[in-house]
Order: sequence, then structure tokens, then C-alpha cells
Amino acid sequence: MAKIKVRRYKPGSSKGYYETFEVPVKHGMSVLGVLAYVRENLDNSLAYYVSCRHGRCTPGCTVTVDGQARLACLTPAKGDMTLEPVKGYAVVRDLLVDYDRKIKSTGK
Amino acid sequence: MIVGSEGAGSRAAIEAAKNGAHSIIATKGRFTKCGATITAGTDIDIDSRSICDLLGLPGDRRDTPQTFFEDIIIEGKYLNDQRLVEVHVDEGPRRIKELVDWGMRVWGPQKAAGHRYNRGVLSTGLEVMKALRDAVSKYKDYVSIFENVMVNELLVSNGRICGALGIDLHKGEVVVFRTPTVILATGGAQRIYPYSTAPEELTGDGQAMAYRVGAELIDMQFVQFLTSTFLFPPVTTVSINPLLVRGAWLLNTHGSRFMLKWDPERGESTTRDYVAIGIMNEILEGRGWGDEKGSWVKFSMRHLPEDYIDEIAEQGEKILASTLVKIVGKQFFENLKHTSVPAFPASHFFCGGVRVDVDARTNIPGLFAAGEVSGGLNGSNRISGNAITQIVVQGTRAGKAAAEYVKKCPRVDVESSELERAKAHILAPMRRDEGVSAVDLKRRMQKVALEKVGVVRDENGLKEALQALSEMREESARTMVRDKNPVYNIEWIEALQVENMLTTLEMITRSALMRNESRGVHYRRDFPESDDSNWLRHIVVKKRDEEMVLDTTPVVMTRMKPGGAA
Repeated sequence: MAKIKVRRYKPGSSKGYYETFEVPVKHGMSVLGVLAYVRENLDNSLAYYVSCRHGRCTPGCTVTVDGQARLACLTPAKGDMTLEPVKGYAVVRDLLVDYDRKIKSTGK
Repeated sequence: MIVGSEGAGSRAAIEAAKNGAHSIIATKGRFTKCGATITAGTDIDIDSRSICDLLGLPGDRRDTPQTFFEDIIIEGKYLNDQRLVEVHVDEGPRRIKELVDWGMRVWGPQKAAGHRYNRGVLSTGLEVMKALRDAVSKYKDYVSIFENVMVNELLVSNGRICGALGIDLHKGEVVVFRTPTVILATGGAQRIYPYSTAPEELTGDGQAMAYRVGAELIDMQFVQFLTSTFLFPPVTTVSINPLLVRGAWLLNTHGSRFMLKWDPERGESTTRDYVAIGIMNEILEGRGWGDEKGSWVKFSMRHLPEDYIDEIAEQGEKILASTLVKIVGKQFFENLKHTSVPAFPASHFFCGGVRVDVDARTNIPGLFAAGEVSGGLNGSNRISGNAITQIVVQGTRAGKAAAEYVKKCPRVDVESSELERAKAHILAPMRRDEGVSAVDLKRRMQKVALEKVGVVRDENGLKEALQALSEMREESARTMVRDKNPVYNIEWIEALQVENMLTTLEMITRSALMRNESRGVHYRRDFPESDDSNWLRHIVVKKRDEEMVLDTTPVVMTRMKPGGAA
């Protein structure tokens, strides 16, 4: 079981927090696969953007993986990691940002 | 108003603007960052003579729009509405030329299965959307785009469209659009199936919304599955363009090339309907591999020279399968020199959909449908390369016809009872405190769809599916969202989507059960032959007094019949 630390933000609340999920990461699983696993099995409310699942809708499912902005669908999951929203934009909910609202710091 | 922002939707908006009409586009995702168009990475087909004359590429001047027409009908197994095909072959070349003028880069052409000439202009969906985005921006005074808005209800008054209702996902608020016309450009419902080449959001919203207001849907049983699809668990499937893999073999557990049984001449290079059926048949008859998640046959290139495989890998990197290379690395192709890989069919395209005329009008005044959400053009099997041509041809027609409709139609007000009905429906999963989980329901639906309403079908399986569906449809009216925060609430979205998918799957299942024959992508192993004497007919589905009713209607053949000219 890998420990997946996810930055959460509930709309309307004053600030975000981290939550850690245990996910059975297997060879061939992408970061998007990890998010899908969490949403379908552990917490249905986890919010992130997904469309094509293979790098066409970029920035699409981009999230910050251990400090680096990465397309979740094309990034292999390699065990424990920290997932945060893309920096520089207003967070709508959890890992989902609004690309029309740029901000200076991640703030929340 | 246009629902869906990509190929068909944005092209419709451009044409509406050219005709002086203002439009609103609502899209569940973000403009040019969602939908099926951008996932296309393949051939865009028009007659090869026009490829020479209009695009200046090395096409084949022996070809004509009429020959292209014939090939579409032959591959569609005579089930295409020929009036739609006439418009498609006649206007396709101009529409593709426009895209090139607006900045789409093209290569080729190449020849794909089912085509007599080299008609495949090579480009990508990203190029298509780049061109359309630039063209839309020239009409920005006429087009407003609402991103992250999921439209889920059509509003009608006295049988006419008077508006639509959706959720602004970022705000978590219900939004009402008062409009006399809605053009549906929402694509297919591929996510009914667990494995799909299509993006996540293709969940039959357009088909189900149209059904709920009494629109007719046609040829719903014809769901195309794409082969040469490889699974990267648990999220994505990747398909190699068949143009790139000429010469590859498909093998069963006996090591035999089973496709030669289905098409002794073309083998694995035959049309996609046969490849999908051939693979699924091996799996069902116990000559495939499998685990608890799925089943497959093997795709092998080991018999091919290594430098040929290198060439494919290089070509792939350049234009077509670049994403494949990104995910699996060059290693994927290196491996293919020594080992075979699992391959299986994934849902790819909906040939059927909302019934339309040549101007994309449905039977509901004010409701139009363009692109994959509509049915009739592709008959029982879409020929390779028709999808992009279809969205720009039909999108253009829809935009013009809707603009004309708006000028003439009387003003229609939204009645408050209609608005309340629609609001209650869209908010229902959020208002329930107990009920069914949409995620769980979706999982069960996908399993039934794959096993009983997939590539290979028979009466027993379809009847079992209907039984399961009637229970699931009842459950879908009781879905419950646990977290009540309405902002980008994916569970809420899923609850609405699963209801739409179940409605669409029921249409597919009932139509598949009614069609006692095999034709195109619809394969009934209890009726393996085509039956031209009884089944050169469309199956039309609609809602009557809350019941799903089916009827048949003869295919309109303006130019061509089996065995000769019409």
C-alpha cells in the first residue's frame, strides 16, 4: 500500500488541509489511476479534471506531483507521493483549479 | 444555444454567426480541452480527387464524390440514410478545405480499410480544434462560451424547445438558458462500456436529453468497437492507428491467425467491424486469454522485420501515435520485436443517435443534433475517416438551419411548471439523504454492457441485460450524493451521467434485441447472417407515455441499392 497525501480544499471553507489515502499502487498505474482509485473506492467527493486520459486535453488533469507539475494520465505512479493542485491558479475544489483565475501564491 | 464546444459545436457556432445569429456554447469541460474531437489522431476522409484539386496533396484523380458515396454505403451495409451521405460527400471537401485555410496542418493522403482510393488526409484532432478555435475567435461578438457547464435538461413548451437547464460546475449552481433552439453536439455514449477510446465525459447526455423530450433516435444498436487497443491499467486504453500497423497479426491461444476465417484476403487489415467481432468471438469461444478484469487476444509483429517496426515507432512519434509513445515509451515498440501484447476491442463510436434530416433538424421543433450524437449517416458501420468530416459538415448545416429557425420562430416562454420539473430532476440526487451510489451503479452497468450488449450479442444475453437494466434504471432514480457541497461535485455529475447512460444503454439493448440479424458492427451469434429482405430498415426509438417504444422504417436509398443503382 502506498501512502498518497492529497491536498484537499472544500469550497467555502477558509483553508485547505492534507488527507492521506492508502492505495494499492501497481506497475503500469498512472497518477490519474491513483486518483480514480481514491474517488471510486475511498472518497467519492475528490475533485480533479479529467477528460481524454492520454495527454491530448492538456493542461487537463495536470496536478503537482511531489512539487512538480505533471499530467496525471501520463505520469507513472511510483509509490508514496504528495498530490497538490497546480500552482498559480485559484483552487476551485481539491485538485481542481480555475485556469481563468490566476493568483500569485497558492494561498488556500 | 449549442451544447458541446468541440468539432460539431464550434463549427455550428461559426456558421450561425456567419448567418447573423448569436450563440451560446455550453460545455461540460473546457473549450478545446475536452470532448472526442481532440482525441482523434487519424485520417480525415474526402474523395481523393478533391484532395488533389482543393488541398493540393497527391490524391488520386480517378476518385469522385460518387465513388466515395458508394464506399460509405457498402461499408455501412446499405443502412445509411443516403440523403445524409449525399451532403457528406458533396460538402465534405469544402469543409475540410476551410479547416486548412483556418490553419489545420495536413499530411498524406493514405488509404484506409474500405476505401478504394487514398482518401485519408492525415492530421490530428488537436489541429482541427486549433483551426476551429481561431475561427471562433474571429466571431467573438457572436459566440459566448460557458465552460464547465453540464447541460442535462431540455425545456419544452407546446412541443417546442424553449430552453435548457444545467449546472455551472465551478459555482455549483443551477443555470437556466432561455432559448428557442438547442443544437446538441455532445458526442457519443462510449463510457457505457468499461474500455473505451473516448474521453470520460461521453456519457450519452445528448441522446438521453433528446429522448426525454420525445425526440426519435435511430440505429442505436450500432456501437463501433476499435481494435488494436491496449490496456494500461486501470485508467487508460491506448489504440494504435490501424494505418500504422499494417502487417501485424492477431493470434489466439492456439497461435492461429483467426482473422483469416473472417476475411481470407485482408485478414487483420479488414474493416473494424470484422476485427472486433473476430476478437470477441475467440474470447467467447475460449481461445483468448483473460483475468478477472477482462479478456484479450494477442497482437504480434514478431514476424515483421525489425527495421519495419523501427519505422512504425518513428512515424508514431512524429504524428499519429505520439501519446502512445509517451505513455509506454519506445520500449513498447522494442518489445514488439520479441513479444506479443494483449489486444481487445474498446468502444469507439456511436453510429446511431438522434434522428436528423440533412439540416440536422430533429422531430422536435427547435432541437438540432450534429456530429456523433446524431444517427443515420454511418449506417451500420462507420467507414474509417468519416468522423471529422461528419462533424464539420453537420455542424455547418446545423448552425445555418438553427440561425434561420430563430429568425422565423415565434417567441416561446418557459412555463414555470416546466422549469420546476427540470430543476427537481437535476437536483434530485443532491436532495436525497439516502439511496444508491452512482459509482457502484456505473460499475455494474459497465459489466452488463460489456458482457451482454458488447461486440457479440444473442437473444438470451440481451434479455438478461434488459432485466438487469430495468432494475438499474429504477435504482438510477434513487441515486444519492453523500457530500452535499455543490461545487464541482463529481458524485452529482456521475449520478446524472449514469442515468443518461442507462437510458442510452436501454435504447441500444432493445434495438439490438429487435434486429434479428447481423449487420455491420451489430453481430448476433444466433443470427449470424444479414437479412436484406427484412432488415434494410432503421429501428427508431422514442418515448411514448413514459414507455420506450420501437418502430422500424425503410432506409431511404436515393442512389444505391444492394446489387445496383437505386
